[in-house]
Amino acid sequence: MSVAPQVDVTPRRYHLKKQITAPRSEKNLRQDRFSQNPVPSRISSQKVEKLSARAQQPPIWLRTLLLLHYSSSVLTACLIAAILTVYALTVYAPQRWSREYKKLMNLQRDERHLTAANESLKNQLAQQAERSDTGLVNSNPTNAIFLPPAPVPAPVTPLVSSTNPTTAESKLPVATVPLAY
Amino acid sequence: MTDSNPAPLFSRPKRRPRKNLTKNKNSNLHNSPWRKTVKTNVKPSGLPQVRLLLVWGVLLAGVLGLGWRVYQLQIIQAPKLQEKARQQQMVDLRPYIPRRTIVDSQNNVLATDRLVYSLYVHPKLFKTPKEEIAQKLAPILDQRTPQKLIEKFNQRESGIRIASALTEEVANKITNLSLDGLELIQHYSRFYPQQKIAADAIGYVDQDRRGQAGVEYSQRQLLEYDLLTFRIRRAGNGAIMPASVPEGLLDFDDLQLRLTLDLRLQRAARVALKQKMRYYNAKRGTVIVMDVKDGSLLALVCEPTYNPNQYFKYNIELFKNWAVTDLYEPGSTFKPINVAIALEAGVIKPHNFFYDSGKIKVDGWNIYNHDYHSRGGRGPMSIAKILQYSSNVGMIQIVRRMNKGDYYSSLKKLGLGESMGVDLPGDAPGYLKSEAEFTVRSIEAATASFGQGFSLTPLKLLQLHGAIANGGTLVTPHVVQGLADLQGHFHWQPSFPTKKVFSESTARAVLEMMETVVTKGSGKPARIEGYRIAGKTGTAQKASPWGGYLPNAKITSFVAILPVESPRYAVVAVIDEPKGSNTFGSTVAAPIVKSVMETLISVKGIPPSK
Repeated sequence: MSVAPQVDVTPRRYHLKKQITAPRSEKNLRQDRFSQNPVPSRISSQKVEKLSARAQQPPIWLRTLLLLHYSSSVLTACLIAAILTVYALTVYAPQRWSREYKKLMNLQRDERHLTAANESLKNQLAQQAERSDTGLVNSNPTNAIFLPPAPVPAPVTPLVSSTNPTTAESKLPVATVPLAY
Repeated sequence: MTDSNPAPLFSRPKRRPRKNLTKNKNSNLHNSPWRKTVKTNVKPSGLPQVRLLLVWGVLLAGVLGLGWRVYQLQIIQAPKLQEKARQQQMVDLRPYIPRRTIVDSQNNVLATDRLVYSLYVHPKLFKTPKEEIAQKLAPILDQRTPQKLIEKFNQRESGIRIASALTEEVANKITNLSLDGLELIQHYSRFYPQQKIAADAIGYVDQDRRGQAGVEYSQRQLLEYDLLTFRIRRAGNGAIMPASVPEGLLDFDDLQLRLTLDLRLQRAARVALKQKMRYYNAKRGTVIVMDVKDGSLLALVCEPTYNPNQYFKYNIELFKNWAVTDLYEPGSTFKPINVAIALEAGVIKPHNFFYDSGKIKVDGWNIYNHDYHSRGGRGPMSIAKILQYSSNVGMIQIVRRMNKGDYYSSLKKLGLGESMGVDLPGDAPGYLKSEAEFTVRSIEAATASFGQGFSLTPLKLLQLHGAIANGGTLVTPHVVQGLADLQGHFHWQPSFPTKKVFSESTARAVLEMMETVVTKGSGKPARIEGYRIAGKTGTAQKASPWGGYLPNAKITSFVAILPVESPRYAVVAVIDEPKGSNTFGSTVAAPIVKSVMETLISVKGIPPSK
């Protein structure tokens, strides 16, 4: 769109043909006059009036259409941005998923390897232990020590003696079992 | 003042002078207050108008053409094209779903899956000569001479399977050779790390990963996941498009099948059994340990046995677990059961005495005690003494007091002719003669009183002794504890029926009599210092397939219950055909049970009674 102010102000362009008769050099002059104070025109057939600010505004239907146009353009821009983001995700997410899936398969395989190896080792150790030259014997009751569960100690009670008031020690609480820390 | 009107967003480049297309000079636009110039009538020339129409027409034709093409593609050719796309993009994915792991009660793995490789050769792709390849492969695949390999190479041009179960180290070595024409295909195969130790209980799977014996066969529904096939879309580079992945692709749980076996006990039992069997050159033997409270089997050992990793190398007879499938005549180990039946029927009391004459004549048959020829009759004996000396005559006296029909129905009530419902394959029902045959003469009841004339499996005998131990309930022996996750929580456990057959007092009385067998009677070799053990020996003659009994073939057994003050475990050992002169239940089977009980005490931490 050229910078020079143009006569076209509506979506439809109007090209003035009839100004062929007017001198070409005055074309610009004439257009300047649109924005300035009205100057009597050289072409008598024309009459240029100042545009009132109010009248300069486009009609309501045009305004709403323009507003709609503007808002839908903004909406379209946002949607385009969103589309691009989602598209990027649709490319990135499956890649990530495939990577993680491969990792999962590998981990599962490794787990199986480890289990098999661990158990084979256990079996080998047990077989080696069974052989008599290793000096290991089967556990049997003669080797085992069974401990009876210890009785829970009775709570410590202070010695209270009412029969012998003369002894001073009996007034103080005396522990019957040593307290161990 | 700047341009007060907004510039149009879409501007066409100026190609040629624009025409004033409005013919109506009186339109609002021209008469609006802000437009005061008056247009003169300019007549548009004909040619540019037609060109405009032409352009419009061409574009319209293009749109229509596209529309028609869309209709053709989307609606007419749609099924064909969809089919093509599906063929190209969709792929059937069979994700590897492993068979469930089998673990024992201590979480040791008994059966798991392992990655193995199969080696295929395609001689037509060989770049180096066959002999060279054979030379390089032979040392890696031991047991193959280069000559044999070359023979194999000459069979076909492609697709010859050389080896099927190669471990990863061997496969890596083959890959490192970098020879053309060798192909390694990986697949999972079942692996039993404990080898022979628990083979009788676990069983094995064949090449098609189908269980053929043991728990692998009987619990195959639990062990196998459903074979799922998913239709998945693949992108151009082969990666899976996760949007098309249906639910459940990665959904399999990691539950394990937990058995009641304890591997430590299993090992100890097997060692003890093998030792005695080798000493007496026996044909086969079995040791079973059961928890009498719920019937879970802690050890189930049969000898001889096989290695399930190489099941194809063994005789097919070994695949059955003969403790579950084979019948034998129990002999004297059945005597406590008869005493319990008689006590329950009320025909005898625990303090009764019976006269043992050493031999007795029933229906024309002479029946002797096993030591009649050396010892003769012993005179009046208590029931405990009858069990201690294992007197056949005493048992006949006891059983004689019962009505034959009542005795028969008591035997039937114990489930002698029915299968137990064990969760191992081949559960064999015992054999009992028909009621008519049993009751018509006295000889049948007489022989049944000392455990001959009918047959049962070693596991059934253990179940009956378990009933005496736990106060009179027949529990179902089982090997499967349930499906547990890795933290040990059970997601599913089987339930087994129980049946009350004796009263508590009867069971208690018989148990105490059996204790005297170990302290004073034939079960002395099974004594353990500090522990109260109840037991019974058994030495039975084997029935011959042509009727009668084989003269020199014996089957020795010993049953023990431990500890007597609160019975928890029952152990049975049965040895088939020990050779030699001094082969009795007390000499052959009782020491095996003693060593198994010692391990049991250590493993379970059973405190001494005294």
